[in-house]
Amino acid sequence: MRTKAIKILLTISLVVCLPFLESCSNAHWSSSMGVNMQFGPGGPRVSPSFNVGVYSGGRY
Amino acid sequence: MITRGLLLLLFAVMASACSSDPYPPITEVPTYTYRYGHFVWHELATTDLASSEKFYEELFNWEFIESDTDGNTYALILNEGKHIGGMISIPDGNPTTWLGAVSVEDTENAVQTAIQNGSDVLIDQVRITGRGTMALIKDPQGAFLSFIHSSSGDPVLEEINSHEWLWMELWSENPQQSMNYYTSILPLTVEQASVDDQPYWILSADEVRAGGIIYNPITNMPSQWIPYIKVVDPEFSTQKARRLGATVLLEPTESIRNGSVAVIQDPNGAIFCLQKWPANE
Repeated sequence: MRTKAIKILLTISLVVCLPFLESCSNAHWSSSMGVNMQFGPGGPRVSPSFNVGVYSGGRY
Repeated sequence: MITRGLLLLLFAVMASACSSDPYPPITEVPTYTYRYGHFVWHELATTDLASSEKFYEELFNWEFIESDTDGNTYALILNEGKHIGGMISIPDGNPTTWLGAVSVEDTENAVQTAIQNGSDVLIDQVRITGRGTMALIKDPQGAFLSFIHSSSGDPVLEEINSHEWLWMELWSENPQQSMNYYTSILPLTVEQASVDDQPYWILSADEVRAGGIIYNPITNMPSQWIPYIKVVDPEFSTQKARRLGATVLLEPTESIRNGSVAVIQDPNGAIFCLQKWPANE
């Protein structure tokens, strides 16, 4: 009986958490290594850190 | 993660490149003329082909013709009916990126020369039905580069329309090393210039400008080749890209090229630039 209650509780918790898990799919966070990560539909990827002061690009 | 990603990318592209199914040629009609040392083709390796197509279709009005190649999907890109590039589907977890292909006289020789100058070969020369021979390498600083010898010749040099490739630029950790490398493996010459008080190195092939090199402005990514796409209104296109889910790395800014340039990361992670050309038109 107790096991059944725990299973039901876990199922309800999972269902309640699903929207939050889904919202994490595009979340940004920073690792302890200082690399910004981004989670998208294709998996995790690095968020580029762009230094405007260095940029001088464009067709010449 | 990146090593695993590269291996998966390599596997995916190899699987498709070894196909006996025909790939679209890089010219609509055969030219049988070549522009060695110039970028003549561009392909997006993407983890989400459908969303990439949707993004670039809405941003640039590009159209796509999909074909199955050995179980993989290849999407030919058309701009106002003109073949300008392609998109290849790759597995999740890989970096979505634009790959530029340089025309070479002999793909196998180009690969050997690249190896002798410190390159890693990701895909050795493969003969692709309908396309010619291609190879994929990584330069000593980590930038991806394709070689191509097209069986139908290269696209002819003509006026660049809006939403077509305007320029290729290497964002290099070490421009001096990059200059030595690229002038060793390709028929390129280099001249130094200055833009907005920053150094700029111009690469030319057969006395025609082929691309540029600048210091890598991205501090947490290795060297990479970045394509520039011609637009009429950089500000408008930048805002449109943002609305479509892109990340804007650089807004058009008066202090940089008179506001004619923007740097964009598409929703799947590929970086490209927008540029109005000529800037004062």
